[in-house]
Amino acid sequence: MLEVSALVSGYGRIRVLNRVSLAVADGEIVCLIGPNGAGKTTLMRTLAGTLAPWEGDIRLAGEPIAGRRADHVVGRGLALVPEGRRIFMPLTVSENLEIGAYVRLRAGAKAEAQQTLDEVLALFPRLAERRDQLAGTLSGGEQQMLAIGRALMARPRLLLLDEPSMGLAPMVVSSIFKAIASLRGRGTTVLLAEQNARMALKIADRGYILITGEIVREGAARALLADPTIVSTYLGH
Amino acid sequence: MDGSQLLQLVASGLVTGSIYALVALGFTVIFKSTDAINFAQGEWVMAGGMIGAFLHASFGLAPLLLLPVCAAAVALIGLVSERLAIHPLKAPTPMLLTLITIAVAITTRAAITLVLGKAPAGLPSFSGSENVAVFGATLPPQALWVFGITLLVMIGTHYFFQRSLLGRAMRAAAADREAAGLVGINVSRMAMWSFVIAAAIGAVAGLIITPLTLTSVNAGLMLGFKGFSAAMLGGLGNLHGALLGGLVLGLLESLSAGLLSSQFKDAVAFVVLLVVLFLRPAGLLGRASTERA
Repeated sequence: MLEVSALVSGYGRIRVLNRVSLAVADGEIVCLIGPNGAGKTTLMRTLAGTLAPWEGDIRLAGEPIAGRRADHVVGRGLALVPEGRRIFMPLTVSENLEIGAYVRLRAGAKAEAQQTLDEVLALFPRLAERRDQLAGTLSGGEQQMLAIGRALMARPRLLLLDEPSMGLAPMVVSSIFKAIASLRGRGTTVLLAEQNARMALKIADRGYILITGEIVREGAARALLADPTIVSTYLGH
Repeated sequence: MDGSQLLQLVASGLVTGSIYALVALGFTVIFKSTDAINFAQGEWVMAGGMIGAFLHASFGLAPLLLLPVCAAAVALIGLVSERLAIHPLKAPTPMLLTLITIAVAITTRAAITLVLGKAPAGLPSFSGSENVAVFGATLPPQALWVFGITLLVMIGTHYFFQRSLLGRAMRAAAADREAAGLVGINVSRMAMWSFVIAAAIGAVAGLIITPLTLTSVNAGLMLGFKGFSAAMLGGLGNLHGALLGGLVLGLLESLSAGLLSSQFKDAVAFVVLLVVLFLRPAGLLGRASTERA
């Protein structure tokens, strides 16, 4: 589904990612763990097209997308739930979800978008209760659900999630992770960047560990969780 | 001063205020999507009136028919301006955009002067010439057209932004550009649409006021300043604020002209604007921005 090879990216003249390579197979949930400042968000933004790569190749189902702008990439089937949620605060919950299907609605797929909306509302019933509320009035957890729901409205083949647990209470985090895990059954492939490594590895098939812009380890999620050096270095907190 | 004179002042204030509200609406549409102040807005108002007067004088186009024609013509000016002057920018900061709109304003005015000349131009009223009495005030029939069309444009704009996919996409892009890109919205295209819409609204304002006041290539500057003031007064970026700000500014001008002296009308309007902004910097309906990171 996704193949990234020797990706270099950064901001201005500051190089953040140093020849990062990774792959996500169809139907997998892969997590990317690493401390603050490792480059997880830079990687996510470069994949989604809000940041242009300096070098390297990104292929989505074989198609090269490196350097394509975000509004093009989402049409190819990759949607990002950005760090900090970034929902449209002055719009209502329904409007946020509708806009999530912007590309499909422009293509005239109104009935299909409605069907996805029903699925998203079934996944997050809280959003259905708050449909007509302004997104800015939602709690943090509801905002995260809305951000995920908005991305799902594009019906992506590959969903990227950047720190969905950030700033949320443990109970809320576990319900959001449950929802993410349930995507596996719907044919959505997931790449999840998380600092909350233990939580992320529990729902993932495989994991990559990113430190200062380089992938230092990769492996099956179960193996990473069982490795005592990994646990003490990255999962200790 | 008796009651009917006061009513007369209020009525004519509301007519001018409606025009200011439409000009303010143009400022608001572009401000919402780009955070920039579009100083070409007044020139688009002027262009609407001038092009309308020209088409009427040369081809005898009926004034009502001129509405869509002029709106389309000036929308095209807005479109071309945006594509030539704004779209190529690599880093379109609001300040840079604002400065560029000054260049767009000067260029637009020069182009209109070159093509249509400097002479003042007028239009007949959209219908009839007999004054009509409304609640004790006597109004020219064009005043009713001004009220009606302003109301229609306001409602139309409101529904466009609330209900249509493009309008919602424009609001989303205004709220968070990067997130808008992530859902597939071409953000620079949204800026283009805001220029097109603001230019068309400006043209309508210019066209409906011309039968009452005449117009000339120099009319844009003052209309632009007044519209900007009205937008600030109501709360920049707020559609209802544009309407309220325009009407309040028009009333203030009319009442100070009638009750004090017409020499003071601009001064009074601007002093009130300053006072309001000292007390409520976000405008009458504006809210202090709390969501911006």
